[in-house]
Amino acid sequence: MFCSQCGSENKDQARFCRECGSPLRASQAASPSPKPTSPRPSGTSLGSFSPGQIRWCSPSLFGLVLVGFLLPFADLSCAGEHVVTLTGTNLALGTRPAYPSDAAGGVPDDASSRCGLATLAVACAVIGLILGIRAGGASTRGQALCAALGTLLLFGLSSFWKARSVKAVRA
Amino acid sequence: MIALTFRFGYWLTLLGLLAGALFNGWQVLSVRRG
Repeated sequence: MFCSQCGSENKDQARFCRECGSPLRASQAASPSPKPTSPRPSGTSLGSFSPGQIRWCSPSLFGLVLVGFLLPFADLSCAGEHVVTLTGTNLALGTRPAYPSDAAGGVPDDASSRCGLATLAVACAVIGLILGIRAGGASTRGQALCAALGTLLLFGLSSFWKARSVKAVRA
Repeated sequence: MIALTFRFGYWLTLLGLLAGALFNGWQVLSVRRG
């Protein structure tokens, strides 16, 4: 039978459309199959969301990730005392806010230097966002790879900082 | 001793990328299965 909402073909015993999730009525099996008036976009649908709404999920997620890089990302502390709060862009680009004068002497210059893992994670998010806006079958695979690589890079960033304990003598 | 404690931005970024990987992976697999 064919779905009356999106026109895709489904098995006769199916209760819901495999493409758009709309309920399929038994009466549709006997009725002539309606043809879709416009080509359906690639990808799948989720429940009551239309393919058009699903299409913007991935770019929205990558946009959210980029917003996350602008928010307070990490607290830098020295000997248990909070020194400064860094954003993701501080880590990715190597820029840093000014240290408090009483802490500056105890914090090594490279404590908040550019972290390649953060830079690559930002690059993954930007590439994923661009691929998401330019929709297509190949770009979906690219977005999946970018997101997976970015996740691994952030896990790596966490592990890197756990391993990197710099002893500094406070001035 | 210098330490870095991750805050809200890190976890938002991590969750966003993880969700992106799962969502796009699901899309790729769904299209492949037809």
